[in-house]
Amino acid sequence: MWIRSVGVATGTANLSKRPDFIGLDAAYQAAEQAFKRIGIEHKDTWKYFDVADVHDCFTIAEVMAYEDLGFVERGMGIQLVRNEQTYKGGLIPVNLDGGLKAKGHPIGATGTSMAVEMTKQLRQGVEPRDRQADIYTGWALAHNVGGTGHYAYVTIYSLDKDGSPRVKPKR
Amino acid sequence: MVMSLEARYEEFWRQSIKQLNEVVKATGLPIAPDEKGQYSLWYDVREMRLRFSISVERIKRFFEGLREGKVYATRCRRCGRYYFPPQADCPYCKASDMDWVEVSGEGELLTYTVINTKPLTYSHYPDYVVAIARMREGFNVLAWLRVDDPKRVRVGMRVRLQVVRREPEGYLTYEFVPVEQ
Ligand SMILES: [Zn+2]
Repeated sequence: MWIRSVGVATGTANLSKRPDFIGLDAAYQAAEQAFKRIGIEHKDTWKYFDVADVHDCFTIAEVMAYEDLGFVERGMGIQLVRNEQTYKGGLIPVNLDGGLKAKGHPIGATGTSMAVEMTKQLRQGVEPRDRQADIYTGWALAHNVGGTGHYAYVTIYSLDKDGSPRVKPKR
Repeated sequence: MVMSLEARYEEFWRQSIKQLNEVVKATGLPIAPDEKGQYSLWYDVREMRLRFSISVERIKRFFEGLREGKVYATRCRRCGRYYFPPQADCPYCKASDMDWVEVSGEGELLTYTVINTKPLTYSHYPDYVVAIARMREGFNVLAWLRVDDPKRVRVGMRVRLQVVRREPEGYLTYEFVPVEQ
């Protein structure tokens, strides 16, 4: 298992200094760095990853994460959920471990659990098996946020030591 | 007799510590269930008291303004950016070349939330509205919005920023009030 890329960014803690409230700039910037390092565009990024864990500390935070990470364009995140495209077998399976709210968001341990989950998923060792994602490209993404959304970390895992991610096959 | 706020907090802590001491005496350990009775919590037997003190020397004009009933922002002389709450330094210009400007007070509500679950030292206030408004000058301000009925608050409504005395403590601060149309 290789950590192929890490993006880290900070933003303002003060909500009144943010240009809008429909995303987290720190998360967008962290994603931008992480994608640049592995040579992919920050757009339609769902097609490169078999699975992802995102920081759903609140319901809306998960939808904003889809958009900050460029899985879909701004405003379309909710459609991913409605169309069950973030479920196992969907375009981009997200939080197959249940996400933060299901694991009680144990703060620091949340980030660690994301690394563990992405590793298990890519190695196809998830138990119970019904929440194991289908692995095609061997790439996974973890998105972790802190504070009032003023810290963000995007970590990209791969089974391959070298090269850029391939596009998932059409299903 | 009405108990002062400080006395109420002291009473709350006194009762908590008393209960904890009884638990230690009875069981030998400072472990007790949480508020919901779901999980066992370890309560440290030593208390830490913390009250922040922060230098406001370089922005004291702002606090003098509150005493005069005025709200001030700072504005960078080099790039023209506004800072509210006021800052003495402009991180874009890496300079400390600021003008003090009185805020027009005219704003439009961008977003808000009603706080009904409060930390201990806010627990004596009725439910309050925390809002962000875009001021006429083009910067945003976060403040409480003083309204009788939170259900009447609407994004886009016009608000005015004004200096108020926050009771029962009696300290000066700023709040939004709706502008009657
Ligand atoms: Zn400046």
